[in-house]
Amino acid sequence: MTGEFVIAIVKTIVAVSTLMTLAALLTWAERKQSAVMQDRIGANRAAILGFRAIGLFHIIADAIKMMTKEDFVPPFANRFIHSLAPFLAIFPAIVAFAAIPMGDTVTLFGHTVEMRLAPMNIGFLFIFAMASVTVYAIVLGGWSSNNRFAMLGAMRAAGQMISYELALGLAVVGSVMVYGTLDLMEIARAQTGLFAGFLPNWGIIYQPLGFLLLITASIAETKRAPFDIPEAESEIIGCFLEYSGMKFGMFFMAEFVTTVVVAGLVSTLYFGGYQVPYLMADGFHLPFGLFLVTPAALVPWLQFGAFWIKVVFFCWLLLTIRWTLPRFRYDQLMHLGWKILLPLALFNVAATGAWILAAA
Amino acid sequence: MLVPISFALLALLALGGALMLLFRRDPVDGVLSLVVTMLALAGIYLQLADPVVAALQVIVYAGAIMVLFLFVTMFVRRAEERGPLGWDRPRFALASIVAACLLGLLVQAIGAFGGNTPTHPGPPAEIAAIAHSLFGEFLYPFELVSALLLVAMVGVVVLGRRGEESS
Repeated sequence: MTGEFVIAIVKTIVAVSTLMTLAALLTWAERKQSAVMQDRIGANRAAILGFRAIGLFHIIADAIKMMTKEDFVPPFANRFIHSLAPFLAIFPAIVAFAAIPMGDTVTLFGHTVEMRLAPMNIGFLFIFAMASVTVYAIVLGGWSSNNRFAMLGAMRAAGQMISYELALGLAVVGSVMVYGTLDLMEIARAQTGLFAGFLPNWGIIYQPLGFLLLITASIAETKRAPFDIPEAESEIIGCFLEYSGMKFGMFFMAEFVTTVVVAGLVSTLYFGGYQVPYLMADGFHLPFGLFLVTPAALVPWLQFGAFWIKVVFFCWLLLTIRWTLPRFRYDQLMHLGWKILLPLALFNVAATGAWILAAA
Repeated sequence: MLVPISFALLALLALGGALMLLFRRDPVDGVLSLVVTMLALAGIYLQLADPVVAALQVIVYAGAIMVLFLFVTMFVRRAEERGPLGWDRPRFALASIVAACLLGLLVQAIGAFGGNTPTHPGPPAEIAAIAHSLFGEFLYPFELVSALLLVAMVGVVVLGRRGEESS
């Protein structure tokens, strides 16, 4: 019992610190990548003893700045709710990660450890439950600030998140039908082996439309460009308008943590999760009969690494999309959500059902 | 030992939220209290080893319905700007009668359970079992409810459009 307790704590520390480190790195990556994409140099001034480390020290500088800034609560604001909102933003974002498997089971010091924070058979539903709670952070943050622009942002956010939650939920129904489970660990396990003899047997082969729908709807859920009208930082600044210091920092971090969680969800559902292509329990089985022996103890750690590489790749993809596409107008946003994504998601469910029936 | 304590805490939270909903003047406070009640209920479902229902409670009630309530109440003016609630006597009497009937029904329903409160529930419900009963045994009521919701939705759209034309 004590052993399990210690394992749970160690797992939580490792997973949450990896998650937060990656989210912090994304604040730097966002600035640097956008700079490169726009032919600028980007953040490079923060230096320690003359070393600039391609701007990486800006993460530390940003953190110090946010923690030492005045924490301003506007007059006439609802103090309690104003302070509550940032916590509502970051808490569900971090907790949602508990359902995502980072690797298969490993045996450590005689204990079998599952590389996932919380073993649960409701995987998706848990992530969606957490995602649906984050709406409150935005809406309450905007409302409690007692500021018209913040309120406008909150209203836009509520409309957008409710609309896209439907497409988000329906997009993964296809995967649930293919694998017959809500458990993300089971889904990752099912994606082992090869498809047609040479392709990794990943979910994208069975659910290409589901992948596109999920990634589109989840960008809308993270409220990043092109779906950033709730924030619209160049005009209304949205629901964060009256936030400063670390409370703003929590909203800011929540955005990047959500990005990491989305990347984790996408790679688990459609890109094999922790599966390394061609890697079996005993080694790499490459096509054309090539075989590479790998120590069995190394396999789980290769898988752990593969999961995070995939997550970093999808974070990069999400940042690239964010800096490529311009913002939607409100009518375009609603049109895309209700008239394109939702019917496509329903079509995907029907088509998957027909395919399963035909295959059976 | 842990289960009764957490149940007591969750029940207290749920009741506290419900009472706050009744006694807070600010409608937004009221909606938020109801959200607390909904989340506490989800906690109780989770404790009854039904994670599926708990997750659905959070997604549907806390995450969608209450957000719409909040959305609407935020358009309503602040509580300070409004006068006291206009409770005239006949309305109060009618409300009391309806509330008393509802209370009676609830007491009867709880009484029907006897002392058999589910403290040690069985294994967690599988989503497949829930799906089988929903789309097998209860298919007819389930489809009727969806038809009802569709009718309500169409009705709202029609009513909304009618106002648009007259203005």
